[in-house]
Amino acid sequence: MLSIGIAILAIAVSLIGIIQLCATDPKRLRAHRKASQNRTPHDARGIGRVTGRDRSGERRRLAIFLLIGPALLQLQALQFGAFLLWLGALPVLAWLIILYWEALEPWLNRRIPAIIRREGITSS
Amino acid sequence: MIKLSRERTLRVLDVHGWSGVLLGLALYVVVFTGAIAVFADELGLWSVSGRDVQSPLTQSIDRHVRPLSGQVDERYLEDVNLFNNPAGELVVFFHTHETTPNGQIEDIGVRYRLDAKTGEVLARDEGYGKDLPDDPASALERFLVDLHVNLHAPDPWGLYLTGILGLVLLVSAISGIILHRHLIKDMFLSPRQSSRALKARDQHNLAATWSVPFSIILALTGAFFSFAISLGLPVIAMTAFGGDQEKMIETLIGVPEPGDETPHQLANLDTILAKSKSMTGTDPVFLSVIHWGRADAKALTFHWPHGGDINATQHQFDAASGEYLGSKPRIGTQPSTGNTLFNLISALHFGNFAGWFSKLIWLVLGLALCYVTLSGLQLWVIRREAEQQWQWMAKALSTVGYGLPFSLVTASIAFLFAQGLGWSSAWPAWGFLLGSAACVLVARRTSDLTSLNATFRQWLGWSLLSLPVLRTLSSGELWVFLLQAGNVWVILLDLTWIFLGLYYLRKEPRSVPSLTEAPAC
Repeated sequence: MLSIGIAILAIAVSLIGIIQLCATDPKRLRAHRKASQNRTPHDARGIGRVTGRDRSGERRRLAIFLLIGPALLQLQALQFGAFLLWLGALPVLAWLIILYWEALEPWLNRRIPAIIRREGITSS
Repeated sequence: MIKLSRERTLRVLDVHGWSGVLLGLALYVVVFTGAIAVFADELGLWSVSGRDVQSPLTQSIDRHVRPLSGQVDERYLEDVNLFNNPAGELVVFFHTHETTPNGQIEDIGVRYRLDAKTGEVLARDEGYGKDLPDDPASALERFLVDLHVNLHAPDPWGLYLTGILGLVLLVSAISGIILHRHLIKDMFLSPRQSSRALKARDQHNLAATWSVPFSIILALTGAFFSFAISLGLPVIAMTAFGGDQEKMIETLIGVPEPGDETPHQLANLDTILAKSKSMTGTDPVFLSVIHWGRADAKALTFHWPHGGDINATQHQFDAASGEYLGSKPRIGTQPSTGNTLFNLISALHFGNFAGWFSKLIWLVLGLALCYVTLSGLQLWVIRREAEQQWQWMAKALSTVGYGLPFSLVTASIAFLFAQGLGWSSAWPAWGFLLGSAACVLVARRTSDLTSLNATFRQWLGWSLLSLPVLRTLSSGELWVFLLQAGNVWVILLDLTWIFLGLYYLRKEPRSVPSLTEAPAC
C-alpha cells in the first residue's frame, strides 16, 4: 500500500507538470492552434499576444522539474514498485489529458486560474 | 529531433507501415488478449462465480494430501505440486519427469482435484502432464492465456509467432520514433480539429508517442518470454548441457542435488505453509515438495510480490524437519544478475507487482497500445481510400477490431453454458470460433462500413449485458451470496460488463474519417 500511495503522489505531481507544460503554450502550439482552430485574423493576433513579462521559459523549466522530479526521487529512494506504477500510469493519464485538452483547458481556466491563466490560454 | 533525407524518411515510413499492415491485426490480437490476461486470475474467479475458500493453501490440507501419497506410484513422489484452481479446489500433482518418444522432457504422474475443505477427491487423472484433461474450472482462463501466449498454434510455432510479433512491435515503435521529427514537442499538442483525417493522424501520433516506453518494454519482455522458451532453452541445453534438457531445467530452477535417500516422515505441510505466511505476511499460492518421504525432502513456497517489492518470492524449507532454509531465487540457487533480470522482466511484462492497482494500469496501457495499432492501420487505409484494392482492409479492421472482443465474449458465454450443462471444457474455443465466424459473415454481407460498425457495437453491447445474467443463471450465485463469501471481484466484473454493454449500446458509431473531407471550418 505504501508504494501505491507514493506512486499516486508522484503521479499527481507529474500531472501538474504536464498540465503546466500544455498551458505554457510554446510557439509551435500557438501556431498549431492558429492553423487548426480557423480563427479570424483578429483572434489569431490575440493568441500570440502576451500580457506582462513573458515568464513562459521559467514555467516550462518548473513544469519539467515537476514532471521528472518524482521519478528521480522514487529511484533515489529505491522505490522501484512505485516507480513502475508511475511509469505505467503517467503516459496513459498524460495521453488522455492532452487528447481532451481542448475540453479540459476551459474547465481548468475556470477552476484553477492561478495555475494556468497566461500566454493566450484564455485569449479567445 | 532526428533529421532524415526525404528518401530515408520514405523508407522508414515504408518499414513502419508495412510491418503494421502485414502483422498489425495479429499484433492487436496478442496485445488485446494480453491486456485482458493481466486480470486472468480475476476472470477465472468470475467464470466460476467465486469460491467458498479464498485461500485453499492456508486451510488444513495436510490431512487430505498425505493419504494420497500412499495411493500413487513411488516414483511420482519425486516432485509434488500443490495449488488451487479458480473454483478454490486444491490441485495436487504427484509426478516425475520423463523423456517422451519424441525427445521432449514431460511431467508424468497422477493429478488429484480435491475439495479444499472436506478433502473429497473430485477427480483423479494419470498420464503425461500435457495429455491430462483440462481442469474445467480453469477452461476460460486457460483459453484466454493460451490465445495470448501462442495464439493456440502448436508448440513451438505459436511461440515463434508471438515472439516475432513482439519484434514487429519493437520495429514499429523505433521506426515511429525516427519518423516523428518533433517527438517531445508534439507530446504536448492536442489533436488538430480542422479535419477528421488530420485529427485521426494526430490522435495516432499522440497515443503512439506516449505509449512508446511501454511498447518497447512490452515488445522486449514479450519476445523474451516467447523466444526464451521456444529457442533459448533448447539452445542452452545443446551448448551448455550437452543436450541434457532435464539437467538444464534442474540447474535453472535450482533443484537441490539428491542427498540422503533414506525414507523419512514428511513434516506437517500446514506448519510449513503457516510459517511461510507468517514470514511474508501474504498467503502462499503454490507449494512444491521435492523428494517426498525422503530425508532430503525440500519444500518450496511461492508468494506474489508484496510490500512494495516488485519480485515474487520463494521460500525453501527442509520438508523432513520443517526447518526454514531461507529464501530461494527463481533462477538457480544463489542470488544472481540473471535472477534479478528475470524478476524485472516478469514484473514489467505481467504488471502484477502491486495487486489490482498495477494490473489496472497495465490493462489500460495494453488497451492504449491496441488503439495505436488500430488507428495506425486506419490511417493506412485512409491514405489509400482511392485505391480499391485496399478497401478490404477497412472492413478487416472493423471485423477484427470489434470481432475479437465480441468473440471473447461468446467464448465466455459458451463456457457458462458448458459449466451449467456439464459439457466439455473445449467449449470456450468453440464459442470463440462461432463468434468469429458470425463477425466474418456479417462483414461479408454488409457493404457500408458505418452500418457494419453499428452492428458490431450492438452485438458487443448485448452480449456483454448477457454475461452477468448467464453467470447468475448458470451458478445460481446472486450478488448477495457473493458478498457474503467475499467474492467481490465477481460483482465488480459483472458491473464492468454491464457498464461496457451500455456504453456500446448507447454510443453512436462515428463515420469513417476521410482524406477528402472538407475541414470542419
